[in-house]
Amino acid sequence: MSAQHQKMRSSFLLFPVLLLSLTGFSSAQEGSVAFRVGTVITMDGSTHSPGTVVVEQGRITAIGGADLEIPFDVLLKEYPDATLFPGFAETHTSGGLDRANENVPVAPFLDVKDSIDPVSYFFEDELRLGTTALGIIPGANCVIGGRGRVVAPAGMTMEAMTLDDSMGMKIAIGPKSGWSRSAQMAELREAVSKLNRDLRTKAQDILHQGAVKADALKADEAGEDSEEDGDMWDSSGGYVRFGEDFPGKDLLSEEDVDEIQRGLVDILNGDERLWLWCPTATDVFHGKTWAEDLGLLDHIIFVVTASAWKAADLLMESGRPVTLTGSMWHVERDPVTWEEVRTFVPTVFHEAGLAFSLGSEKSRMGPHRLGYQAATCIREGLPRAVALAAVTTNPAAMWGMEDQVGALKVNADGTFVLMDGDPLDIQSKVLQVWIRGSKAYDRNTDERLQRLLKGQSR
Amino acid sequence: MKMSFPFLAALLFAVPMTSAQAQEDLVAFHAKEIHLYGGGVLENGWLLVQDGKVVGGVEDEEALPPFVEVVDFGEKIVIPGLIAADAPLTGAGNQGDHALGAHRRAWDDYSPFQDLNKALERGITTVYLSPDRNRLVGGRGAVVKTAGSRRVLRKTSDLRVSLVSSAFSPPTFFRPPVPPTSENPIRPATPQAADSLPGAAMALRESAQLALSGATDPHSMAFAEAIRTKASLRIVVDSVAGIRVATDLAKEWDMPLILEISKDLDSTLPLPAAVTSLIVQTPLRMSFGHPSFRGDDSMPYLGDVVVPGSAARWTWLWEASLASLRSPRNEKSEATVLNRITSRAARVLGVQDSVGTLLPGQDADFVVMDGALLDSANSVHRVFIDGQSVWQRPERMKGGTVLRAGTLWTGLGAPITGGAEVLIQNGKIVAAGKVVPHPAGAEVRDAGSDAHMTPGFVDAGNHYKVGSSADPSALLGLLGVNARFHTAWRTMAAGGVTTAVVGPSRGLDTGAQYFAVKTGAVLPKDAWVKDHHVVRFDYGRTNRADLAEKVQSSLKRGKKYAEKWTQWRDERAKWEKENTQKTLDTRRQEENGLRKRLAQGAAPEKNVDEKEDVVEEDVEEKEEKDTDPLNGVWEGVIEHEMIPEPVPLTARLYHDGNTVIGVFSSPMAPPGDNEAELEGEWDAASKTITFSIPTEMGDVVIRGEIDGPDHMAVHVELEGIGAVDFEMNRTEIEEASAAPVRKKRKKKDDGPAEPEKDPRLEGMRALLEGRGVAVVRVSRMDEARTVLQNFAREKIPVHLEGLAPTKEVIALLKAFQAGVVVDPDLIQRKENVDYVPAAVFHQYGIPTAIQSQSRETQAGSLPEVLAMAVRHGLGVEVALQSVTYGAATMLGLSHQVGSLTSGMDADVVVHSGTPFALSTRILHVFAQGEEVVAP
Repeated sequence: MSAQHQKMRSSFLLFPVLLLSLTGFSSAQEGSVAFRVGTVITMDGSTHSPGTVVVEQGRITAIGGADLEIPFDVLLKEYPDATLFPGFAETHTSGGLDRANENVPVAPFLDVKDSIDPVSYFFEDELRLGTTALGIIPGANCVIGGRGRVVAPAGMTMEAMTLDDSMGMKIAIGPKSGWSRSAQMAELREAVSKLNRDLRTKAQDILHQGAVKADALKADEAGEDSEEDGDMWDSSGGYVRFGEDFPGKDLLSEEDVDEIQRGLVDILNGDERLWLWCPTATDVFHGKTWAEDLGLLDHIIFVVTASAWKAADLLMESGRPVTLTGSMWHVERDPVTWEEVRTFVPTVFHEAGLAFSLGSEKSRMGPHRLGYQAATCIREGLPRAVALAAVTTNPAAMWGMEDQVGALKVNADGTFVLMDGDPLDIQSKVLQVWIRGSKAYDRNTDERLQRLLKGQSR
Repeated sequence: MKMSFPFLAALLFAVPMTSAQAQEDLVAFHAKEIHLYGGGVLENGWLLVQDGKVVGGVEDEEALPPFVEVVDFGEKIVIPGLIAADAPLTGAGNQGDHALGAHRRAWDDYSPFQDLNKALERGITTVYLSPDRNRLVGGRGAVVKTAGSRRVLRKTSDLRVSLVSSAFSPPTFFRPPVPPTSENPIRPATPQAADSLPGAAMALRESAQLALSGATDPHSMAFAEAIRTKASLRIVVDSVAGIRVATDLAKEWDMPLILEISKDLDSTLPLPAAVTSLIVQTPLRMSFGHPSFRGDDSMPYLGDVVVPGSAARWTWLWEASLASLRSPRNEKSEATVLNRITSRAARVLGVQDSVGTLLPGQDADFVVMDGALLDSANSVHRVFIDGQSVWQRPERMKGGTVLRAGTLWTGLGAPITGGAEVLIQNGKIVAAGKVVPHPAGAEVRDAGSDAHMTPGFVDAGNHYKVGSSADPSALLGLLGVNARFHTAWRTMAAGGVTTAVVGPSRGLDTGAQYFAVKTGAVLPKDAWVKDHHVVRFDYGRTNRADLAEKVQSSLKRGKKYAEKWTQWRDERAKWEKENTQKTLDTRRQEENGLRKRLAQGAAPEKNVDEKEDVVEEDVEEKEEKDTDPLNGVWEGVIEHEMIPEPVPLTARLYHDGNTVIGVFSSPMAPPGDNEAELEGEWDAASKTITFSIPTEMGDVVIRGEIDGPDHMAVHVELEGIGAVDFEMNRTEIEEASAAPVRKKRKKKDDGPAEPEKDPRLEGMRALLEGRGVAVVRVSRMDEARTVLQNFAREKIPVHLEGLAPTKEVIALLKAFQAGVVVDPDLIQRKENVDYVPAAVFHQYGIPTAIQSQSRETQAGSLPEVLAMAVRHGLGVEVALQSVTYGAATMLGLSHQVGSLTSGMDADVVVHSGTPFALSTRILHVFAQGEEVVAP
């Protein structure tokens, strides 16, 4: 009996080893694969039909036509009827978070890394829709919401998902629910003035301590505290770079500033990208003024809704990019003629020459896909290049990651989506999603989808 | 109210008489009254605006600089743009937590994209934006304009403090420390100031002290800044104690005080002397929801500035100011009404350097209004901000026109003197009387207290464009393509003749049809009085002996003809009833059959109707195989909105190669002259025939296209003027033979067909069916008697023309209750004395109507001709009756024209004095509500 058991156990053990070796042979290097497909849309100006993409160690190393040479140790996958393209990019969303906002109105210390849930259905659904990069940031019910980051929708830990952690800070000009804009702006101004007060107080303290130490040294008592104390915050001075000079300003270090307020100092220093929530045209007006007064206009990205089309010329003046969330139409009644007026906002932005990106509307069927939003723009008369750019390369540019995501270029991430038709065709299905050279999604093994299509197998 | 001389001089000298370049964008606005400020009126003057600012005003047209653009507002008045000292556009809502928030700004809530049309509709050009209303220290207000390109007047204007009860229960303040530590734990929410008036006063004093001693929290810093820069302190109170607190605080902080009283306080208590600016909320009672009280305290404090109370809309500023005149202690003057919401409001808000008056140097913000300043229902017509028109009353908000004059002749009864009005809406008279309702947005046209208003005149006999032809089809020419728009109609209308009964000058013995044409109509649908005819008979050249016979025979023919029609109508009704029943039955049968067949899986059969057609056409197809597509007799009916009745047309076409000869005839044409032979072209490829008829107005091109067997689509065009499209069907097919064979074609049973229209008897038929009035020209008594007797027997209303007013005539007319249509020569001479026959007729109670018998535009001189008649003894009222109500009643038109009463066409003539006096001229004529402009 025991001998038999032993035999079974050994064969049992062999099996996974065999499997492992098989998988090992199939990708000689981690994150390397080559695809030869019917069409490659690079979003970089060229389209190859048929086309080939070579990914090595998570980065794209070559893109070309059917005759592109593939390194010997990279596995080639051929899909002659499929289309390969960089995948959609969701510019600005608060999905996948534990909750969109905290109660605290001014919260520059918050960071989405603490509340992204990698196993949330949100990310699974995004993979199914062919979205390969998401800008996750706190919601709009705040004054200063916190930091966001750009993630890919695949990965078991937050670190594995992160593509870039310097997406920026969320600031809302459109009032928090129940507030008016004057209270909102007052709160914002209050936070800044409180920061200024606290910095000046702290600087005074440091100067005072420095004087005390100097006296102590004179009296020959050695000071004991060392400069390095092992924590991650910088102890060297000169952290505060904005605003007027005050005594002791250059002595302030990151460590000296209260944790709660460090984020605000970063904002005012101009080190953070600012996603300014200006839903209506009036908010754009006030938001732009506020940013100009603080000299931060160059770091702003306007997050607007359809009603902001009236401020298109203000946005043009500011020269900053715009991301459109929610519905793309604005409907209102002309107060004089009483006729209904419908405005398709992307057309207004395009004609004004703005760089804009589109967001999806998760509450509706159809607009929940970025491809659908882009296709709607084409229907309303926008050129295909502009519509596609609004959901791929423009978001990447807004994140400052245009060389990494959004387009298939040499040295960009090996992130792409394989679809069985044109990405903007409503009937195209997402076949596979590859993120940095590893397969993140395969339609055939999507258990939930297969169960839906074929019925429960058991 | 003229301005005092120094002001006048200042204004005139303010006019820039410098280079022509500087006057390039200079605009002069003219209006009946320009109120530069309350009490300063420029009457019939021009306001000069350049680059968005007022530069001056002139009284004389000569004093205007050359090459200046003039905008004329006519009889309207101009006032400075209204200033709302408070508006709920901002400052509402559940806002933040601080009770003391001097750092809050209403400017942050300013929405440049907000729709302020409802404010512009009421003439409001400047608005105060309030910071938080429900907190002790709300913040800093702002002043903006409601439209235009330079909208911001003041970003921070005053500091608003609220001592009313709504500020006395602020929410508790709760901001938990993040993160809470043992040194900085979460504490319970702290209550905020204040719960009562003394508490509020104390809190304010403490806060001010703290602020001035250098506290660094945002509120204190902003508060200190406000106090140091001596910003206006705007305090809202609702109690007498509140007034005292307010004045004390203002004195302590040494800030100018603007006191706003939000409740009806007892005004017997005097205001402290320190109060220099007072804003009062005027209650406007719109519904019965508020307790009523009567007596002197119905209007409490008389403030410098008014705003509507909370029960009314904030945009009803003008109404609030007018309501403030209710107080008996208030001087009822235009000046106060205006100043309260313009110049004084500007001073209180601190923007008096830019807005509030129309004196030189101020922004050109003004409002154009209809009606007098204190009119109970005047309305805003246009709004200008910075010299640009920013709002104009849209069409759908226009309420109509109100015409005002000293005397109103409605046509019925005695005239209304001492001022009367007429309200016109949509081309009809809605009301006429001493006072009529003034709908919002109505335009008021005041002709002055010397003016008289009368209904439009009815010309009982007019032959314009018809001439002497007794040919009823000549009416085609009359109301055809070009005549409708002839300026001669407008000339007649400008003379006051708004209704003209038009027809051929030679009456037939069977009756020539006349139409009552509205001379001022613009749309074809208004062009004539529908479904009513005046039929003129002329027995002038008949033998004495034959007259009775003739009259009777024509009546008999008419009756027979009319009977044919009545018979047809009955048959038709019967047939239709049967037919609907039959079609319903057949359809039900078919449906059941179809259902059965479908249930059995078979295809639905072809339509039964089609089968019938096939059967019918089989008979004819055999002939058509070799038949020519064109030859034959074609029949069609021309129908067009310009033509009063459809015209049947018959054409016999025969083509030989490429030439077509067509013989056109119409049963409506007079016999003997009813065929016209034309030659044209035939294009076999496209199957079109083309005829071209040269006329004096251009070439008339008739083009027919055969688009189906026996069917032709015809297009008649007169270049540049218009076109008519109609269809013709072939009723007979011919080969080469030219002899028409009248073959009845078997048609689908369409019910009994209409009997053929005989245009010569149509008039009779109208009379016999009660759709008309007859006018008969006679020359002798016996003729008159015969006619009257015979027509009376058939119950046809008849009036005579051509008789002199002798006793017998008058007796006869009275016996038959007939009236007289007098000849155009109103003044006759008898026994060497001038007299007016119409006057004599009227003396004896015979109604008269006046006709011009004009061939061209002579009817337009009706008022002058009547004036001469009046001079010779025709009374004014008699003259008026015979061209308005009396004539309309006689001719059966009184349901639509002839009087100024509710429901009639809005045809009004405005005279400069007593109508038909030699020294009177016609000021305006309105036809269907639109003013007629003489060509």
